[in-house]
Amino acid sequence: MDQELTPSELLDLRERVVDALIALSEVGFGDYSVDLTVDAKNRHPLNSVFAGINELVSAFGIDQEQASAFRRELEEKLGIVEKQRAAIRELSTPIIELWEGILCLPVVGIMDTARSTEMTNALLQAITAKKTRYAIIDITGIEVMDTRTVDHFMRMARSIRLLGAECALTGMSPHIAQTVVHMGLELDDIVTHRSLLDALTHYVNRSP
Amino acid sequence: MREPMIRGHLIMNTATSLRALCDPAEGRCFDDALSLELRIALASMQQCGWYSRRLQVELLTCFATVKRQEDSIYAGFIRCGESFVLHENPFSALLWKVLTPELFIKKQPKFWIRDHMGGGHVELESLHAHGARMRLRDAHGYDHGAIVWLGWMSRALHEIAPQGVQVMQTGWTPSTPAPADVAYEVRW
Repeated sequence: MDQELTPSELLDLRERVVDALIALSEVGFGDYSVDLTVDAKNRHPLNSVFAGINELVSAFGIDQEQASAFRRELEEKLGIVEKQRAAIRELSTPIIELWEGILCLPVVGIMDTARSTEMTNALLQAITAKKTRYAIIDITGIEVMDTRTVDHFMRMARSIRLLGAECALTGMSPHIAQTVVHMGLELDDIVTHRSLLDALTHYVNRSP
Repeated sequence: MREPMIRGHLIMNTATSLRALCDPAEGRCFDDALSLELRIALASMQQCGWYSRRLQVELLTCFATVKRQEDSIYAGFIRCGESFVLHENPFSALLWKVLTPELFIKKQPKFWIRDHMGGGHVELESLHAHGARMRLRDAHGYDHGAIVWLGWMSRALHEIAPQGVQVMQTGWTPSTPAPADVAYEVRW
């Protein structure tokens, strides 16, 4: 049969629970160093509960520490990835001054909206800074051209013209030329040359 | 002697609650008055971390400077202390359910130690069925801290015994923000 607690035992029990909750409220704020007092000599039933809570808090603290370490590691790696991405972005937009007043932007790889925007920005800034009159976009390194890519170049060319410079597209492969015609794409706004050398010769001759 | 320290969650709650009690013009003055050290500390503060009590004192002093009027300062610090109860964690919420007013008062020294490291202690002078007297001793340099503590006690007691709680203090005034002793008279 269950033994009823005396008022003083009940008060003692309540006080022990309160002490434990005060300590656990620190855990609630993230302090896992909390250790509830377990009196080994006293066979109070709460002792085993407190011992169990201590174990749980300790295990949770270790987990939290590991999670923090993983988070830090992940943040570091994300930082490296972002730096590498920035480096790649910079390398993917190399603007070369071929001649006085003539800039060249060799394009390699795949064009998407983000890259196109970056290229346009970089090229327009360079045109303004160097007072360029001719900008040559060399697409020898582009393997596939679709309507969206053409649209990117058209926009780039229009922006360049607004700055008072002329834009030429060079290095178009026979495959891309066929695709452009097959798809009915208009390149009216862009002057094309067979090669970078052709365009350079053309513009150098026109230069004063 | 070691510098007195205080838990991060108290500083964070103090910053948020006092700022919320400022009108736009006061808020700008409050923000401008905070030191770079405090702003940097607040940006990366951990709830369970221990931080210099100077940071807390700086917040409380800035608020007192901005508010100027004694009533507004007192009310602001009380509200700030109350906010600690409102932003406690689930274990604390459970604590209010288990505690009786007597036990709450009896545990005041323990509560103080939970949130403060060095720089003062709470002493219980008398405890009876419907009231108690206690003192915050040796809290030199903890400007206005005694009133924030009073706000916290009042609100916590209200959670424990919703009716007829009264907590009064003697010792603190805006011109003596950190007396050596602050006496608290509690009735419920």
